[in-house]
Amino acid sequence: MAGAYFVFKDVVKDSVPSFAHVGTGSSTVVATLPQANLLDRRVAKVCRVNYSGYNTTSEMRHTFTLASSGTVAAVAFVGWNALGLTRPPFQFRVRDSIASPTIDTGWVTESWDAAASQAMTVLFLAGGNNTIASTLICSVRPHTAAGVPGTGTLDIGRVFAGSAIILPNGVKEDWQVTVADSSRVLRSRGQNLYAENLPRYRVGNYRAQAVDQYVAHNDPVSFLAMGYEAGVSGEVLVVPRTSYYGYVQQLGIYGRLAKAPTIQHVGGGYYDVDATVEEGL
Amino acid sequence: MPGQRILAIDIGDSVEFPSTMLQANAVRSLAAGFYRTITRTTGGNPQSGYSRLNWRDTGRVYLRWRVTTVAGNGIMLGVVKTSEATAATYLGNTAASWSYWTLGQVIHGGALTAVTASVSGDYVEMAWDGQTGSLWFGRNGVWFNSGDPANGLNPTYSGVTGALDLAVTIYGQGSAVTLMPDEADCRATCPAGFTPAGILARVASKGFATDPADNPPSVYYDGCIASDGDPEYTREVTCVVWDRGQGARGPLGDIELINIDGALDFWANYDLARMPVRLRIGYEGQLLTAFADAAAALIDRAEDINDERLRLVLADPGARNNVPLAVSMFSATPNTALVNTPAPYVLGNIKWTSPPQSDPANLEYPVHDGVNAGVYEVRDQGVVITPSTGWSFGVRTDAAGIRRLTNPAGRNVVAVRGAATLGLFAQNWDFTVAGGWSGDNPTGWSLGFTEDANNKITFNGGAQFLCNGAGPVVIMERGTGAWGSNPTLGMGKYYWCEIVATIVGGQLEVQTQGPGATDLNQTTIAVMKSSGTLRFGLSCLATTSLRLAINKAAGGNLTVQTFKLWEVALIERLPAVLTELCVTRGRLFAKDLDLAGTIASVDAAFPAKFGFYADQSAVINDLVKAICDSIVGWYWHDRKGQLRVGRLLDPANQQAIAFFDETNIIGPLQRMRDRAPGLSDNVAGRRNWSPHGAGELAGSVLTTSTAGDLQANYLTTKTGVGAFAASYVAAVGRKALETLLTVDADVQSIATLLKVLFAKDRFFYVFTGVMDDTPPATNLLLRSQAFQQSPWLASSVAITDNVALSPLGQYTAATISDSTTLVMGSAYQTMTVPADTTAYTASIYVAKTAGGTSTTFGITLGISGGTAVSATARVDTDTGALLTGAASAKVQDADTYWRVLVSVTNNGTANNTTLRLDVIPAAAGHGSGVDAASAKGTATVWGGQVETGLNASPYIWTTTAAAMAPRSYTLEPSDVVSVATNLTKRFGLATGRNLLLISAKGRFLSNQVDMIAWG
Repeated sequence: MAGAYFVFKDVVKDSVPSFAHVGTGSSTVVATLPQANLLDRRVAKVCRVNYSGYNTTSEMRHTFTLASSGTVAAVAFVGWNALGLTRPPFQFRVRDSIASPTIDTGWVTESWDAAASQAMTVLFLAGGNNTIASTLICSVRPHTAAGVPGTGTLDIGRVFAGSAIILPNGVKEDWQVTVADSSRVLRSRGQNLYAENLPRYRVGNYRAQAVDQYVAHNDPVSFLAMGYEAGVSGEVLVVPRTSYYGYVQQLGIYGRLAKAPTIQHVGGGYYDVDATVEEGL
Repeated sequence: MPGQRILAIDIGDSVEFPSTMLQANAVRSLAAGFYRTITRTTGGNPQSGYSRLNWRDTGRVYLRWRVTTVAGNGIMLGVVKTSEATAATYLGNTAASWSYWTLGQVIHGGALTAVTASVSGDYVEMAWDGQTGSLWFGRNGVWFNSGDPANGLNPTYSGVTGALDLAVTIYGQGSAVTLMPDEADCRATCPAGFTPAGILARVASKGFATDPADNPPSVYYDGCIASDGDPEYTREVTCVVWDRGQGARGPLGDIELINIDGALDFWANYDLARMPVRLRIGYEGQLLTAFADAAAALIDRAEDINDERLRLVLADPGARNNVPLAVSMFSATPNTALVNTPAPYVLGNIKWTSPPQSDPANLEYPVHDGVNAGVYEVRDQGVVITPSTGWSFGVRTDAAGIRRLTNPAGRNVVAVRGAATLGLFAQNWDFTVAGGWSGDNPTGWSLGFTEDANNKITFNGGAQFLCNGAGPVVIMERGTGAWGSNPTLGMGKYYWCEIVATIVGGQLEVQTQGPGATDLNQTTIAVMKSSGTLRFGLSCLATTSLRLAINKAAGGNLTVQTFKLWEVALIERLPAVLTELCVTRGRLFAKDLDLAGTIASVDAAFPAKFGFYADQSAVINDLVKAICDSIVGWYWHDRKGQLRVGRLLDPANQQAIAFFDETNIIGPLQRMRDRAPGLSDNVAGRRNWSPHGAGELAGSVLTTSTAGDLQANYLTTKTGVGAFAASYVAAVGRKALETLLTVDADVQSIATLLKVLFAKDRFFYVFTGVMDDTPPATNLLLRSQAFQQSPWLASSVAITDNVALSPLGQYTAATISDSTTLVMGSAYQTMTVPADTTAYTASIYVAKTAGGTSTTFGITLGISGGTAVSATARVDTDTGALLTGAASAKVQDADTYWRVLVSVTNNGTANNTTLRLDVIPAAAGHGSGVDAASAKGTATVWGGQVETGLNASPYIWTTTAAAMAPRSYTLEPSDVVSVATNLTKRFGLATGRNLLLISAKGRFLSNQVDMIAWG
């Protein structure tokens, strides 16, 4: 049995992002792909930063000033991508204050283990559903070898911070991540296969077994509450609970609920929940 | 396997400076993917001239410039009329240009008005209302002089109408400026009711941000194209034999965009009509620059289907020319009778027109709205009348034409040569400049008479001719001796003259050296009786020269101010005609015509001459269609939006650029007989634009053969030689195809062509073809079906090309004969490849045999130079059995041929770079897979191919260079495709055939194309 995080109700979407370079080197936001893109729900619409800096001393800092206080259980950089041939690993960190943070994930190193141009997701836990007042500071820095400068371009599709259903276990391991493909496949007269190459997208089917009634529908942050996000409402992020970020990438899905989760009573105060999330918006 | 296929669409003008229209010393550079930055770091301070780009002629448009650097004398930026040639001065210093000068002035016609100056980093804004002709300039969000474009108030300038170019003068060395028309930043500051110029939106079937190294770099394509239906495009052409009398058309399709979040709501505020659209297809992860153009279009309209979706309805880019031929209107003077009516228009060499009478008092008859057209014959009641006595050229300011010197007796018609382009030979004498005189003669001119007090030529603000009426003819000649030596007008050439003179009394005559020197057949070819500008054209039948004279009998006093002379080229051949109609008169730019490609090749194959006359407006696209109909051709706009032309031709012997068979045809292949309802065995040309009724001819003409011509609609009707196929017998004697051709031989060519094309039954083939998604293959083998040609070499074999039917049913297959028992002969070719580990596959078609006697056929593919590797295939051509080479070879059944494949993989050793293919007609005795030098025999082969990879792609014909198979979306009308399927066999065709594509309806995301081909 594995655990998982269901993150929804994004709180940064109405905030005002600002950018600062901290430490040695320099970094600037590319004007044609501005920082405002971090608030766009399409993760392909990225914020692009040209950076030049050193390991641990050069920080690209995105600060979000929230319109109102919000509940943050998890923060994710959805779809980050380093361009160029010599991309270093990166370190990520999320805080709500520099001086006296309620939330501070510390620096987390994200080693590059995906193919070029494949967007990655990194998720941080805030240690429960914390209420943060006004600020969310998201930092990234190149993690080059000591003394070696790193220069390049870093894209971030979205910073997503919201409430989360955190299941330490109980998610069936047979959860599916599959690809939906509405292409029409045809055969030639000689039996060759051809397809209308329509955009494909991933679909995740998640089944949580025997979650308690609070997680199912009693708490403000519950599957029932998440159900209200179905259809045209807000986006959700589902990722497995694992220390290996490859699994985050492979099994996590940022998208929308194709339908409200099915919450089925199995006895006592326990429920089974089925949720389907489709990638894309 | 490539990534997901992506359709990317740019909506809006590219707006960039072409390299051909730059100010001297100015340099253009890329900004946001387009050449939008202009800098000048040499050439001094200040420097005149300007860089410009074709822009708009309609709409309400908003644009921003970023003043990157202001140095020295700064920058002028603004607009200039497209019709105005670039002047040797700064922008704004002419009547046809308007500019803002960064030193704090707006300028028009040289007049300066003070506004706010700009510094480096400022934004200069410009709004133009094409309807009212209002132009506003502003800076950093503030319009000058309380301007308010949104409410149409306080424009900086008014009366700025017509087609405009954007232009910039980098007046101060070191200054730089960038056009900033794009997207969101421009939308934010655009006044209400105006539309930003430049790229308005970028959308795609899947969202992506372009790479920093891409072009354009770092921009976002919004993945909002609905995926529940593959958008389609259509490119089709039609031909006069199928659609006689129908107008031009050009549908393209529509595309639905998802707009759930309202990101595209801004479109409702903008004028999207005629906004250019560029559609490209590529693959996920590719650079945008590697995407291929799939279609170019214009937005016809954008519709909100519902609150979540927007539909873009696209039109053919040629829709810009669905406008009337921009024929000029007569002005109030001197055209007292015709004010505000359209002036006639003449293209090419035509007879006869009935020009309107514009000035009854002076008997003036204009024939052409431009000044550069020439009359070479005038008839009255059908009788030719004499130039210089019966008529002369008219003195008009706004049109070319004639002046009758005697009152017309009846119907007045003229033969005209229409619009022309100026040639290089040009003479320009300005007699008003005192420095241009030597003594009392203009420099270089001599007098053809003896001066006295009453008869003389003197400088008096021009060359003043005085004649008292009793003296000699007062003549001024160029050069010395009778008639002088210059200007020498060449035989068979065509010239334009323009004379500005003030006539106080008498008449100015322009003379050539004797009758027969020009097609006017007169010594005196033009007479100028009133002050003004006399313009005329003449065609020289002999080498001659011109002189100016004043008639002694009439006497008089006149002054010639200027005399200009050009050699000109008549606009009558296809490239010039299309440029005149579509660019000069229409709404396309020169870059929108495929002048160097299909237009040039169609013109070279059939150098026809066209003629057209209109005394009322015609739609340009209909006229282009009529031009194409005249040569049994068509036009369309290709995937890049360029206008291309093609002709109906027999595809049998043309090079096919795509091959379709069982492997890549989906669904049925349908065949329909071409009924050619518009076909006729007669073709008519040399149209008479003003046929006479019998009562309009004088008796003297009625008795001559000319009377028939004068009354006919066409002066020429030709019939082709030979017989139509049975299906087209009804075309015999049908009403002639009417053309705009003006040369008898051209008319005959078309009649002959139709007889040849329809001497056999013709069919339309309708089918859906698919190209594989994988990158297209390249055939590395040269001369793939010409084995006698270099770089093929014969080793102990005799090769004869073109002696047998190929799998496509043409005599393009070759025989290779090995007649020696001493060595194993082969035809071979070598290629150079990298010393890596690439795999190669060779393939060739070999004719099937029967009877159990044929020697074993073989091919060997080897790589040498390092550690050699090779692979062989040995085949029994009776059965197709692979006798040797099972591990690396294959044999495919290809109807009357086998296709034999063999693959080899390089081993990466140093210098292993020589790839060699041997085609061996007799590798061994019949049925043996063991090579034997003693075997003798002949094989019939066709279609060799060597490509990378372990499979053979459909065959690609090569000649002198390696060739790449086309992608489906590159198929265009006029392309020839080969089709070989069981169905074509069923239809009675031995194997397959080449077909001429006339319609390609493709889907962007899948790579299927619905085709209609003819042959």
